[in-house]
Amino acid sequence: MLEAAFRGSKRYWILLGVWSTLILIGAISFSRQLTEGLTITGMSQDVSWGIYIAQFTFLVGVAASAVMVVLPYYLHDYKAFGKLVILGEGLAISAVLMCPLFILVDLGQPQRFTNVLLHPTMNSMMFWDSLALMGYLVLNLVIGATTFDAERKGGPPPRWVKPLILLSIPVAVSIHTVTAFLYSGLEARPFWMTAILAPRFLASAFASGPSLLILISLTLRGLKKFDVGREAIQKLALIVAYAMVINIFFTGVEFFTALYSDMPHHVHAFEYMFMGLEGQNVLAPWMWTGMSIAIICAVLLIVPKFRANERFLAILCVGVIASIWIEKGMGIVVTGFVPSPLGKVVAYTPTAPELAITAGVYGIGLLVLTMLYKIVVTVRERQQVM
Amino acid sequence: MDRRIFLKKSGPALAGVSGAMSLPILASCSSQDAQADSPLAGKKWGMVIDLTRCQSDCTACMDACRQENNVALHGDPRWDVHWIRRATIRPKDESSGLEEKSVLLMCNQCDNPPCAQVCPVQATYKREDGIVLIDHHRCIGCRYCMIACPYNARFFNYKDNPEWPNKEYPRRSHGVAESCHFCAHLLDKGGRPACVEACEQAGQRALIFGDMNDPESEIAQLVKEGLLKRIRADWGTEPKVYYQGL
Repeated sequence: MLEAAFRGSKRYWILLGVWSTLILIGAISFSRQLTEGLTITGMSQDVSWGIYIAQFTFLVGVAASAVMVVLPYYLHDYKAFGKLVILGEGLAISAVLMCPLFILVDLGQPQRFTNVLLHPTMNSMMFWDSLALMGYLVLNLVIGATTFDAERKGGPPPRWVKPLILLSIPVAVSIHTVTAFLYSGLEARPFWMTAILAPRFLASAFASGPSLLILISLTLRGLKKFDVGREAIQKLALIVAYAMVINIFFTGVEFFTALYSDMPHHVHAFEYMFMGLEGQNVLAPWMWTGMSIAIICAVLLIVPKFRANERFLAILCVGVIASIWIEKGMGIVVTGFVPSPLGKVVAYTPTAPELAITAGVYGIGLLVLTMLYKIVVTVRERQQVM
Repeated sequence: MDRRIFLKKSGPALAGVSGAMSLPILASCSSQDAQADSPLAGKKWGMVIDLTRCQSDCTACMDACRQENNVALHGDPRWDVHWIRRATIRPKDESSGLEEKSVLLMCNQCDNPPCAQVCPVQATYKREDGIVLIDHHRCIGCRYCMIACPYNARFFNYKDNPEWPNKEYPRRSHGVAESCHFCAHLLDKGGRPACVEACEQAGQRALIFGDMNDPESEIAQLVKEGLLKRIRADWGTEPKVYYQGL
C-alpha cells in the first residue's frame, strides 16, 4: 500500500519537488537560526512569540477539525462522508505533524525539546498540549491506517479500532482547548485571558478545516477523478456556514466585553488591532481585511443558493481560510503582546528567514499530505478497476 | 473596625486592592504568616525600593548588576537584557498635573510566581528562601515565562553575550531566558545583591534588602509599618519587592 507514494506521474513528482524545495529553503534558514539564535527573527523582548506560534495555533485548529467528518461518519453513521473521512484524517495527520515542528523551530534550545517529557510538569499547559497533540497524532495514524487497510481488503475494520475512533473525538476537541489554555490562563495578558478563547478557537477551526477539505475534495475531483460526492461537499459547506457564524458571534462577544467595560487593559489591545497605538499600526490593514472577508463569506455561506454553486463555494472557502488565518495566524497571538504589561507598544513583523522557516515547515506538512493522498487515490483507483 | 482602618492595618499585602477583593488575599497572607512562624521556613528574602531616595540620573545599581551577573547589553532594545532597569511612568493626560516618575523595575520574586507555574520543564523554580531561579542548562527557550510575567521582568537571550566581565559567574548562551535572582550566588556566600551594595556605595541607600522572616531586620520593620506598595499586589502573585514613594 505504501509503495504507491513512491510511484507516480510526472505531475506528482513535480509537486513533491516543489514541497522539497520549500523544505530545503526552510532548512537552510533554520541552520542559520541554530547558530545565530532567534535574533534572525522579528521577535523581541516585548513580542516574544511570533509567526511560528501563530501558525502552530492555526494548524492545531486544522488538525482538530477532522472531528467534523469523523463524528458524523462514525457516531451518526452518516454514509455520505464515507470517502471523505480518510481525507480528513490525512489532513489531521499532516497538520498535527506540523504543530510540534512549529514549536520546535520556535525554541531557543531546540535540542532540549525532550526535556518536556523528561521533566513532565503538570502545572504547565505546554506539557499538556504536547501530550494531547502527540496522542492525537498517534490516534489518527492508527485509525487512518487500519480503517483504510480494511477498506482496501474489502472487509470491516477490526473491532478494537472503534473505541479508538470514539476516543479521537474528545481528543480532537481537547487539542484545541488546551492550545487556547496556553493563552487564556495568563493574568499578564488581558487580551488572551478570556474564557471564550477556547470556544472561539474551536469555532474558527471548524470553519477553516472543513473549508480546506472542500477545496481539497474539489481539487482531487478535477485532477484525479476522485469524487467524494456532491452531498458530502454540500454537508461540509453547511458545517462551514454554521461554524463561521458562530465564530463571528464569539468574536462579537469579545468586542462587547472589552469595549463596553472600557477597561484600558482590554480596550488597548482591540485599539491596537484595528486602529493602531502610538502610531504603530502594521496589523490594522490585515485585521480590517480579515474581518471584512469573514463577514462577507459568512453572509454568503448562509444563502443556500450560493453554497450550492461549487465554483462559488470554492471562492468562499478560500475567503474563510484567509480570514481565519489572518485572525489566528497573526492577530490573536501578536496582539497579546501589545501593549506589553508595562504599557509598551512594540511592533512585530516576521523577517525573511523567519518566513522561510515557516514555509519549510509547511513544505514538510504538504509533502506528507501529498504522499498520503497519493496512496489513498491510487488504492481507490485500483479498487474501481477491480 | 472601620473598613478603611482595617485595610490600612492589613498593610502592604492589600495595597491597591479594593475591599471586595480582599478575601482570597487575606487567606494567602495568613498562610504566609503561618509559614513565617515555622522554624523550617528559614529565610525569606525581600527588597524595598525607596524611590524617594533613588536619583533618576544614577545608574549604579544597573551597572553593578550587569558587571556581577554578565547581563547582556547589545545596544538594541529588541535584544537587550535587563535584570534591574529604570522605567519612566508618564501621565496619560498631560493636563492632569502629574509629574513623570522614574521607577526601578526588576524581578519581583513573587511568592506565587507565574513564570514557574507555566515553565514546561521546571527550569524556573522557587527556592526555599523564596528566590525564583532558572536552570540555564534545562531551559528550552520557549519564552513562556516571559509571556506569563506581569512585570515584564523576564528576558530572553536572543544572541550570545559577547562580554564576560565576571568570570566567576557564567554568562548565558543564546536561546535561554533569565531574570534577577537577588544575586543568589552571593547570598549563599553570605553576601548581598550587587545592586544593593552599589546603591549604598553611591550614597543613596535606596535599596534595602534583607530577610523578611527576621523581625529585627530593617526590611521586616519597614514592611510592618504598612506604608509600602507592591506592583499589581492584587493579582495574587505576592511579590517580595516593595516600593516606597510609588
